Amino acid sequence: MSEFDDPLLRQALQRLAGYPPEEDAAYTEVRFRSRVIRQRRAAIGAMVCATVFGLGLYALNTRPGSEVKTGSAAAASSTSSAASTIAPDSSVAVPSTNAQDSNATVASPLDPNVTTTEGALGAAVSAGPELASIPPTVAPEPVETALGSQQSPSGNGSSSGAPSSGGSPTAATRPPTATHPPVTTRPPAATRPPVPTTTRPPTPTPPTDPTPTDPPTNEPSTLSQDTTGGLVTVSSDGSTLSLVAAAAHSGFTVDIHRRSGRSVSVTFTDPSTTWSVKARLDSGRIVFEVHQDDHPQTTSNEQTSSSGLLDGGGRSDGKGGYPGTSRDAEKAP
Amino acid sequence: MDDLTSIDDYESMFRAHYGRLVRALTVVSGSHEAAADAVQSAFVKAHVRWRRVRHYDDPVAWIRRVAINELRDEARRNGRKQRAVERLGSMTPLSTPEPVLDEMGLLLAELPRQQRLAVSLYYVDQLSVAEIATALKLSEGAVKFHLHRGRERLRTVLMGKGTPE
Repeated sequence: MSEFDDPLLRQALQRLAGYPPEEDAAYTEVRFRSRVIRQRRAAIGAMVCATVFGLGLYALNTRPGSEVKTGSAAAASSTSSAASTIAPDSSVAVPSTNAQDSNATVASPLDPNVTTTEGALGAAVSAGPELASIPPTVAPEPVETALGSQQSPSGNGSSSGAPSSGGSPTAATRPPTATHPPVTTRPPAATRPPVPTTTRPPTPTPPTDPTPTDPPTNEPSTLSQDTTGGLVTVSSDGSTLSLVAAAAHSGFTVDIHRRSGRSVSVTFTDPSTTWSVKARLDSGRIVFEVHQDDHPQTTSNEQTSSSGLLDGGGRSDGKGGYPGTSRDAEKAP
Repeated sequence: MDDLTSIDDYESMFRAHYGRLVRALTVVSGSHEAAADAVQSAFVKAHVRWRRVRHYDDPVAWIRRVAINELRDEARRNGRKQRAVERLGSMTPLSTPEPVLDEMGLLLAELPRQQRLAVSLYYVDQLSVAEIATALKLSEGAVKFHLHRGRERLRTVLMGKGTPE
């Protein structure tokens, strides 16, 4: 018994409170309201999730794609850079997939055990899917002609990587071509203008930075231009051109007009056509200009007279005093 | 099975306390509808959160506290509405509370809110002093004080009019 028990007051208040409410109807109403609230919460949650998902998609779509591509390109670049580091046991540098990368080159193996670059390329292509994407990028590349096979009489297929002409190698990315097949491919070089043929001396130097500081104009290079009349091979030390070989094809005679300096001029002549091949330096690059002149039947006197421009005699037959000319002329078909 | 048990627990709790709580709050508010709405809102909140509320030490006390708050909030809303209508010059109230006709009701309306709550919960809902202290977040001494003061004022009516029929 509590001190506050008061039956009269309790009875009065109970009467004031009224009759008990209907519990069934109230319970049904409570369940209904609870279900409505839960459905509303579920709808709000779904809307929030959809909004968050949409915002996420929007953020992903509005993110600058260049950043991602830059990252991948950087990764590819780093891969290329890492791969272009010619390790003693490495064979082929992975070219960058970036077409604008002027340093995207295929490096030749320095390992003397590796016999050919072609084999190294094959190994590189079979190395993985990244390297499998090389062919589309290297397909339009200029044809590279092996100089060593033309210049070095001892070029018997051993690609030791040593320069056969005794030139000092400077570019690590230049593949040795001593034992190359006549034609090979190279990855794109953005700053290099399209050159018909390119022959580079072997460069067994350590790998250089992907962004070379030396301008390409100082790179010694040798280029060959093959025409119907014959094959002309010139070399450049960056400032001066010099004629390496001028080999006339069968039926043509070779006339060397200028064999060193800023330009080299050679003419191949047969009774009906004159092929003028002129090589000059353009921004340090060797550029060939080939002209064909059809002329009526000329006499051999004209050829002789044209050959009279040459210093030294007996060159009208293509076997002149230039060392490489006679040898190449013998090789010519 | 757990959900079914929970639902059964909730329903049994609802049927055991809903009517008592509505009647107690009717005494406090003077309106059966307002009290029923407040108690229903409290039970709805408990139903929505039942997985958590059922683990409380006294779920009914939580529901009772929520119902009291709902009733207080509703009274405040009605007061604001009434004052707004008076400011606009209209003498017609938007919601007319259920009139308490007898003298006991009028006297209850004059009691302070805490005393009304304590008296109604003690005499109508038949809670103990400790339960009332928990529901009102008061000490037991404060509850006893409110009960004492409230009973003294109500007894004056009862003594003047005799035992109500």
